[in-house]
Amino acid sequence: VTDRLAEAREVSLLELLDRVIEHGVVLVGDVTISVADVDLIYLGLRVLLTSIERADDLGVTSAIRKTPT
Amino acid sequence: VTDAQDVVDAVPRQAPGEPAGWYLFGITRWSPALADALASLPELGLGSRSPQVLPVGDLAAVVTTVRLVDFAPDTLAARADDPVWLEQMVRGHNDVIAAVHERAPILPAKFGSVFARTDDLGAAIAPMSAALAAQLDRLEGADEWAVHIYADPSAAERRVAAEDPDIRALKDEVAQARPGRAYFLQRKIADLTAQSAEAELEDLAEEAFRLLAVHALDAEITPANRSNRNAEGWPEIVKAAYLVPRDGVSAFLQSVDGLSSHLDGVTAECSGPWPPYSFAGESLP
Repeated sequence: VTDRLAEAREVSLLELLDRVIEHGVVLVGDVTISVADVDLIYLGLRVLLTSIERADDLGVTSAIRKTPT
Repeated sequence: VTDAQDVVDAVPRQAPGEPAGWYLFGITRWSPALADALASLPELGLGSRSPQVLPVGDLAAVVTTVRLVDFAPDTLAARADDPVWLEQMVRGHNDVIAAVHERAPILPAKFGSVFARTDDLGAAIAPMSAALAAQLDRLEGADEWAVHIYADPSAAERRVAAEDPDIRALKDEVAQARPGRAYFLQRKIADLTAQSAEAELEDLAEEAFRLLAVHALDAEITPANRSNRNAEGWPEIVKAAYLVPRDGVSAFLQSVDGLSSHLDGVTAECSGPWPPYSFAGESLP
């Protein structure tokens, strides 16, 4: 059960990163401090995504229907 | 020590007098009931305070206060390669958006949007409010589902080998050819089979994507990554997001599960319901 929970957690993080990196409404204000401007954070998110995808390729996780938590 | 306390360090609370900013989770419709519901939730998201709902006309910004120092370029640069911090931030961002999404439509903001003052936030939202309201109407009562579709490449190869007239003609030729020529023809058959199988996978991808889209209000396809494989080792042929009305979810999930009975050697997996990340920003100016 713990394995399956860990698996579901990985899958949901993978899907979440996919969504968060690529999407979201941008509101531009004069005094906005946006992580969007800090490419390093998005680079970090991409590295995280890739490392989980790699684990996925090795069969550590498999995408199964799970409610994201 | 509870789980909730374990995450409080992702973004520490600001001390009195310390410069604070407003982290924006998303835009929703103003509703006092939603404001109350969020205020009564335990600490959610970014390990900071309960999210707040700030009214801006008929709309509202879902925000929390953060320390500006945590979003200074130097701080962020230092944390960009810390997977634990990144995961906490992304999960915190999603937790709040998902909590709102359970109760009302929300347009998720770009991850990491921080405003120095609420006035700036209001000034940013006001000119876009008609477009934002229209987007919220479109997302009412719908969830996003993430779908991956996989296909068995050897089934596709078998199919083209049996059906492709050019390949069948070459095979007939091989049977009568001398060894040297037969070898050459075999190579040609292998190349042609691989090519046709690839085209077959692309056709399958399009058809599978469309079969599921029947049950969705909107759908978005992104390039599949063939090196992603399912438990059978089949490559991914479609990566897609579907915006599905809640009253049509069971029909959608049935067609996901039943995809393999419509398309030979094709299976689909999905996760959800998600807040409508992939459909929030469309058609905004």
